[in-house]
Amino acid sequence: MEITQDLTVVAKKESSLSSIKIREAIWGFLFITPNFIVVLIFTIFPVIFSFYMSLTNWNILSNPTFVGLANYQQMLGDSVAKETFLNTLYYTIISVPINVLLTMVLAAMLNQKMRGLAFYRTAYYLPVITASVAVSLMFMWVLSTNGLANQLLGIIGLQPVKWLTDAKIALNSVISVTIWKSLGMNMIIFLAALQDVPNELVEAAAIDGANRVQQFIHITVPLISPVIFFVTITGIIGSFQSFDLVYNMTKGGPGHATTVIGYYIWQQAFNYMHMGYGSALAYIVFIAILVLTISQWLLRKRWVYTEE
Amino acid sequence: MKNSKLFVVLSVLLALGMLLAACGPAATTPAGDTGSSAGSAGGSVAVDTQAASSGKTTIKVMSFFAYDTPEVETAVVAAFEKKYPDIKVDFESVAFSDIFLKYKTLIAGNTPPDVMSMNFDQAYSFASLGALEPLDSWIKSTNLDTSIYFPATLDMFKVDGVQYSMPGTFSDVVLFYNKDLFDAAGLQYPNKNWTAQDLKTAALTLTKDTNGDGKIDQFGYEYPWYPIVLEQYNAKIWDPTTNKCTLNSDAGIKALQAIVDSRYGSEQYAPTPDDLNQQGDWDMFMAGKLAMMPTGPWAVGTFNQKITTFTYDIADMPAGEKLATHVYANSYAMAAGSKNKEAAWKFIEFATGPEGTKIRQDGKYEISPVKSVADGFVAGLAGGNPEHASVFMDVMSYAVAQPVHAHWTEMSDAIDSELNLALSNQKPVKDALDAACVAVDSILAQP
Amino acid sequence: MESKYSSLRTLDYGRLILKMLAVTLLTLGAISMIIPFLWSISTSIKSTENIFAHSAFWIQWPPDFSAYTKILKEVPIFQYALNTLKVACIVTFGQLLTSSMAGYAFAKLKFPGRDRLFVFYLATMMIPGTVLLIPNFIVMSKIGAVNTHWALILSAVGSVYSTFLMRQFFQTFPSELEDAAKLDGCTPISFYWRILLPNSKPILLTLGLMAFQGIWNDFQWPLIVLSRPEIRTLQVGLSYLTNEYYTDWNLLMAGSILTILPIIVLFFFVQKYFVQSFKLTGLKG
Repeated sequence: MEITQDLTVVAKKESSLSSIKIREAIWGFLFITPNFIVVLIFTIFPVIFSFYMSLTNWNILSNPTFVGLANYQQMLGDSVAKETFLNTLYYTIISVPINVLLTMVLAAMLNQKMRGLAFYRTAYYLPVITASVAVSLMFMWVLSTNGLANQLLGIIGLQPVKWLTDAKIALNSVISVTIWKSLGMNMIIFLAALQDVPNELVEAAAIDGANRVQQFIHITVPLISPVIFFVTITGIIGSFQSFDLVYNMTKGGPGHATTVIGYYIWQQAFNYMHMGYGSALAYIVFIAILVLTISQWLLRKRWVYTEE
Repeated sequence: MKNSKLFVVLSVLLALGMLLAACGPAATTPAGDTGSSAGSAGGSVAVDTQAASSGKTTIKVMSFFAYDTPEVETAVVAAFEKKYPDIKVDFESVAFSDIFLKYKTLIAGNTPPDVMSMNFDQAYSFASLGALEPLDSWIKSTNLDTSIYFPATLDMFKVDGVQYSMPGTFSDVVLFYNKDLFDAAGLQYPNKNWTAQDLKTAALTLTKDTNGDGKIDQFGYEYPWYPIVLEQYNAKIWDPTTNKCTLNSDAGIKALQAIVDSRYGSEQYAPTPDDLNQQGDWDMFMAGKLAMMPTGPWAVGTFNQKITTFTYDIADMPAGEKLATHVYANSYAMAAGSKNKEAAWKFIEFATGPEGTKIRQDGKYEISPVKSVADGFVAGLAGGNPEHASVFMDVMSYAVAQPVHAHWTEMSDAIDSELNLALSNQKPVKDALDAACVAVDSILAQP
Repeated sequence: MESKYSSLRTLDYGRLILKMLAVTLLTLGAISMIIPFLWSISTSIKSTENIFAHSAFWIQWPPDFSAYTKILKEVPIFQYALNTLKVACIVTFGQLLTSSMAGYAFAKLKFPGRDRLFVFYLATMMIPGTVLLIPNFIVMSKIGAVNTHWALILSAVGSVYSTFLMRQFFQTFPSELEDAAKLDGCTPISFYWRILLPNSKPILLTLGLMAFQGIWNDFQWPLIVLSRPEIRTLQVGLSYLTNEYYTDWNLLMAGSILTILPIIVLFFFVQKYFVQSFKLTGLKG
């Protein structure tokens, strides 16, 4: 209760800079605490536990044995792990920028007054909530040999393509479907962000003769850059971890052409019961995401407007 | 300002309160928060105290048996509880696709169910990794007569000669065919003496472009899962004596080449993986677009219900080099960490014995592994559909169990990823099998 | 960002064509988004024998609602929906509260170790959740939350993802307003409650929607931690519609339509709040 007594003093001019700082720090801790307690027990502890698992040989069904870094050494000789890791890197590098750009433009368009706005927004959000299995089945039809995609190609006189069964093409097809399905998610985040852009600024720019694109690039984008940062980071994290669409559409095949690391970790940890090895793979993914995030983090001072 | 102070305190309390509240029930009773009766709350703490007071033991049983017709397995449980009134069964039905993940998590959390349903390969894997109780001493101490079972179904659940679970159902793969398509083409129905050539000749006649758009839309045959084809061509995935992969032997290549030729050869009579992406094989068969398809008794319920436009029947699998097919079975096993082993064994004994398996078989969930009960299977199929249901029994004279390994899932995935390239004509069979063998050898080399 | 000054400009055909093109693309995209949903509906009202008998876009008329009646008859769908609703509401409220508070602290309040703690938060998101499943289960099992709704609530109520999102949004909050509030003698708590939250409705609604939807659609975790049928969530309850060997597409689709309808309604409600507001012209509260 002492803290609360302090509060009444806030406005007093004689309070020194350092006591203001201390008070702010106390508030900071108070605000974090509820979240931190839950995160500590239900996220941080499991994370530490999983790191321990990565140092063991554990088949889930009997007791783990400590093996040190053996799992990490094993990875060096695992060609499938390398292949799936490269697939994932490709998947991330292609899908994240496209997703961020498309959803940003989409949100900007759907933030204007236009006829049928609610319809458009709902339409783009629908795939996010449509069951993965329904989406996969639909696209397995569309992309099959005699499917809609090839029929359209046929109309303009092109040869049919084996969208999902040709090892060279399958990953790109899967990436396209993933982007298609997840547009709506980032769209609503950007829509929310655009609500925070003060109209005065945009209108002032308009009076200065800036066209729409210029307004967007020079006024809106810097203002929502923290959100772009968020969407990029979570996009990278998501593409390194998710696999349900891939699993439903191709089961990772043909060969390992569409196996992403998230799926491979799942297989190793639960299907093959190499929980230790799966955890070690997870920590390699962690390092990869961390490197990508740090590079964004270092760059952020250049492009994230409000980071101090 | 007063309000906001209160707010901070409240929110911190709320967060702490949630934690405390969550810790609360553990110490007392896991009755949960919906106010259900204590009897159905399956925590062992509550169970033990209850057992002490009323002399009643509760066992946790998890099963995927007849998952989509839940009344079947609950009838088995009800019959068991009637026979053993001092044992209460906390029964949970989980889908086959999810149940093994749940077992693994529960075992890792040191709270395994007492009795778990298993299939042939997971049973082997769970047993070899130490999760299952060896049953030999239980069988011996209760004088269970194991000669009542089909021997193949018992052998399937042994690891190094030790029985780790008891079969509750079995099934085998036979040839299902569309009689109307055979009649229309003027062909003789498939029979036990069919050779690979007879199959091909008939299948080619039944493969058609019915609507004249230049694409085949009715297929003659689809090969069964490749291990059965290997069996028919005397090929093995690995040789247990040398512990080496033998998939890329001449016999193995010949077997898989037969599948590839049926899909991509100059005389195509089987759907390609691309075709099957559009419509699965069961749906194709039920739509009359696939004349012959190997599958098991598990298809009978669905087929009888959904096929209305033609009649189908079953026959022996067409031979490759020899007449062969696989038999599969599901079982009940006891968790090594079970705290109520006595009661768990009673349940296994009942649910896999004549009484339990009869209820299951009458409920149209596969066939009883108990020979005397299985004899009633054919008679039990109302309306005599399929007409020659006795084939399911006849093939037991030569059907064998599929070879399994503690790391079978891993092996199977490694083979699939190469094999699928060969079976979709993107890689020569020999190259794919050579590559698969490299992966299999490294899995076999694991401790 | 429809500018009201556009009418002042001379009519520009190039811009008009560009706009038409944009609307056409937008519409084509929207159609591609709805097709799987419409197809799910049309499959759910087909009789089994018709599902593959015609082209994918063929619609059965009159419709066959037997898939829906079967689900309603055989699955206690209202009880499952109620269970899910209860958990989802608690999680949504709790997550909004804890993550907006923490997000505010991370974004606006200076305290020692803040940025290091935040980086640590971010780092926990980067571990694939797959390997956290068993540790999570063990924690829940130790505190006795397994087989109760607490297992679902506790694992979701403090979310790192949401905290990160809130932090990024609060960073865009104009510091002029914050400074003005400080000068007025506003404490952080009253600033948070009276100024920050009321001016963050769009993101709070978005996050609320995402939290709700996350719980509503979650399958694997509730499947593992809940064993008693009477406390099952909707997705787990409906998994009964799958079969080991064969998929009844009309049943599966009917189930999926029934589960997503509430989310669509919720989304429709949320998106209505995404209209350009003029909130920053004056201080509220």
